[in-house]
Amino acid sequence: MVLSWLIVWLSSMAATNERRPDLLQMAAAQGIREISSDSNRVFLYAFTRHGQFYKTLVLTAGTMFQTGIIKPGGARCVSLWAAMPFNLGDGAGLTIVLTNETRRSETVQLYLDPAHVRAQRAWVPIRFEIPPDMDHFVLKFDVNAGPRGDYTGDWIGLAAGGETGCLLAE
Amino acid sequence: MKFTFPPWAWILGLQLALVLPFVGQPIHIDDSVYVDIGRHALKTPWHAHDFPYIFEGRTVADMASHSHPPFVGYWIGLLLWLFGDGPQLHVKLHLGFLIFPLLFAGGMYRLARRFTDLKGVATAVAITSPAAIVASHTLMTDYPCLAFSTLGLALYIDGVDQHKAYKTWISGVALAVASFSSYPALLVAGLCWVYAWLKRTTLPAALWSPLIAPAWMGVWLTYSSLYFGRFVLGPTMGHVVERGGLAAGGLRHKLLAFLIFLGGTLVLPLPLIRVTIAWLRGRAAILWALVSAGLAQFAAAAYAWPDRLLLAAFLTLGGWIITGIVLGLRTTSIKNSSIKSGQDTIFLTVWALTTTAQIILTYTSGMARYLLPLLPPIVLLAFLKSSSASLASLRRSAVLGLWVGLVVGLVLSAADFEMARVHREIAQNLRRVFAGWEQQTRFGAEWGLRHYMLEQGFRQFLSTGDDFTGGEFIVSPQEAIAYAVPQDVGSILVPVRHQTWESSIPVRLMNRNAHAGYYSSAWGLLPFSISRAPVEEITIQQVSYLAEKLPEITLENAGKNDVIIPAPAPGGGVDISVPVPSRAAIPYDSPLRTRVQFSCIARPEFGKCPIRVFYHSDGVDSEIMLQHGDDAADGDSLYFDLPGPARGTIVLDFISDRPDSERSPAGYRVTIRNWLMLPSGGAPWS
Repeated sequence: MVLSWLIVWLSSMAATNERRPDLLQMAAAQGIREISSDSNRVFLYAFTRHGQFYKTLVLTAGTMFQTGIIKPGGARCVSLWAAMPFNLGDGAGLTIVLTNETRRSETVQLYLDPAHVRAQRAWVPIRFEIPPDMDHFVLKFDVNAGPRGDYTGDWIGLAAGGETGCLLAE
Repeated sequence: MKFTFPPWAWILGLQLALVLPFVGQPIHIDDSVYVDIGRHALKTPWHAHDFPYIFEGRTVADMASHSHPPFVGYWIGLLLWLFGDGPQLHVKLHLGFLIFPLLFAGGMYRLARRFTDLKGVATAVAITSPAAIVASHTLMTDYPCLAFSTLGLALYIDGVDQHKAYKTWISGVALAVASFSSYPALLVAGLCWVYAWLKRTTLPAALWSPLIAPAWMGVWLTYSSLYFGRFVLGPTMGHVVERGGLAAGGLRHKLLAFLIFLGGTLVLPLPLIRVTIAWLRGRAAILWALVSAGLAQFAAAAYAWPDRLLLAAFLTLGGWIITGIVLGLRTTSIKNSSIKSGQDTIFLTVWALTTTAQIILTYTSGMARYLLPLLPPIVLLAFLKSSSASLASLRRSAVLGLWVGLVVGLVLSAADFEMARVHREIAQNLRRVFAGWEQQTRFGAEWGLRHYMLEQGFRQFLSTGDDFTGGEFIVSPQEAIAYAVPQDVGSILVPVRHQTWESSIPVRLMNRNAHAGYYSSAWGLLPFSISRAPVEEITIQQVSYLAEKLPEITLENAGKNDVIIPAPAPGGGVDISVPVPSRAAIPYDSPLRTRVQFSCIARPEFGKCPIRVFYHSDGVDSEIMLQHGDDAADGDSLYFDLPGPARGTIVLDFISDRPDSERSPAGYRVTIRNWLMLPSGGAPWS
């Protein structure tokens, strides 16, 4: 009896884990590490914005990160927080593409410029729907310099979002 | 009839002579934490820890999970109630803490009378311990805990030996107070049972009285946990684990620091050292000295050779002392001495070794003052009655140890006093420089510097704070635990000034450059160092006014997509790149006169910086004359003064006399480097 319950519990845990992929874990699985002096241009970095502290996956301008295949299960949305850690430069752009063998959907295009826009000196929520016909996909994150080509402080940090029930949420 | 002072009178006199000259020591290291608890104990006596606190840049909702229970806070609260707060607070509190060194001397004297034939001089060796002398000038828990635990154990031993129950009960109360000063003192209550068991006592009070301390702590922890809604010791232990105090690396560091600090600051127990040197005809002692030299080379490779030499010497001494303690047990069994002396040796050795384990296992780093609980058993073991050495030899060793302790202790105390004085002086100096600007000047520091900066009206900042505004000054120390500045603000800081404070005494107790970590081995593995490095260094920076206010700055007459772009300046600070031609309107609101200074960097072919400054207020535009600074800055070093109080707009007019056809496709830009807004007309730096 106890063994049966244990198996059920472990299965449910496994199923839960399958439904809730973690962006930072996926990055770590690809060999992306904490920021260090010899860091690559994609790294893990925790920072505070507007009093809220999050661990993030940081992409610098001109870099891209692609997840492995995600099966959304019952979740129909993706939730993330995004912010730039510094108030420098002319901002940076983030593009998120949702793609699989048959479809490619550019779901998010976000331009952050905390140096000039006070509201963007905080975490910006990102939420997008997963098309109903996509039962699996990969997420591709692209970060680009601002429109004037200035690369100063062009770091965009992505953290687990705040919307419960969505993929990649806390 | 000739009158002679009894030995205890000399001891108390010596103790007073060691403490009284230092009652003027400013609030220092963690004294400030206990002063704050004391102040709140007056406001909320039933919950002295129920107040929010900022520590090391982080905020906590209450102090219940502070590393120590609140006895010292209550004691300070009582002194404040009796004598009041105010400018001479430090003197009043130091005088109020005199009782603890006297109690320790009393307890130590009783123990020395019981375990040694040199009650007076052995007690003097203990009270002239450098660590004890320095701690006796602080307002922290170490000395009260040492005093009550020593006195408590002395009374307990008397009670068991003399079969007097009332002494063990009084001991129980003293040990409860010791535990209420510092949690690890509970261990001493446990040692009482070890003594009772060794003596096979039939006194019922000997069994029950040590329970007072754990019972009291249980009641207090339950009461406190119920009030605060959590097990209050949980976060305390979590902090030790989080800081790596129980990780292999942390334990290795603490073990090394323990031996070094033991050899360098606690006491010079020559008889124990002699036992080690005599063991295996000196081979073991020489081997350890060589190992110490190797460890010093390995663990302190970056230190200068005199520091490594000092470290190796302290490490050697520390190892010899511990070996001497352990060898004492072996000698006892070999000599087949009397049961009583054997029991005494075992008891004192258990006391010393369990305390050693506690010091290494708890805490987050090594500290000289943490070694104090080890002082009584080491001194007693060194001068134990059953020692094989002659009384004359023991006396000579004690006198030598006493003098060494006295000299080292007084020198360290003087250097420590200097550091405390410097931190007070820094705060007073900044108050003069930033008179009227206190609310715009924030600091991230601990120790006495924290106390005096708050006293002067400055505010702390949080490492997670998002309430910095452009123009605020940030004061950070080199030694007194600089708070981490949030990364967004940290990237737009403009250097204002870096100032050092020196001391004529060439000894440093807490100094990273000198690798001295008397109050925490995280600063360095040496408890003290011979050095003339600055006692403290202060860095003052300003949150870039232009970068922080950029969302509110309007840019006119510029190209369609032109913006002002902030970037890190080479060599530190902030560059603000502005298109030319353009007009930047900067909101300005200040209660005081302000001097604005900056460098303006333009391409060489344009000659001087193409800037004019206007001040717009109440519908009137007036041009401000730019003055040229004489410092060797990049580009044109310029400054101008603004009136105060004032509320208006600073307009920077970047003009170009070149036709558009000559502009590069990317546009022509100038760089405003390190725009500073400083108090104008205040006291000069000193």
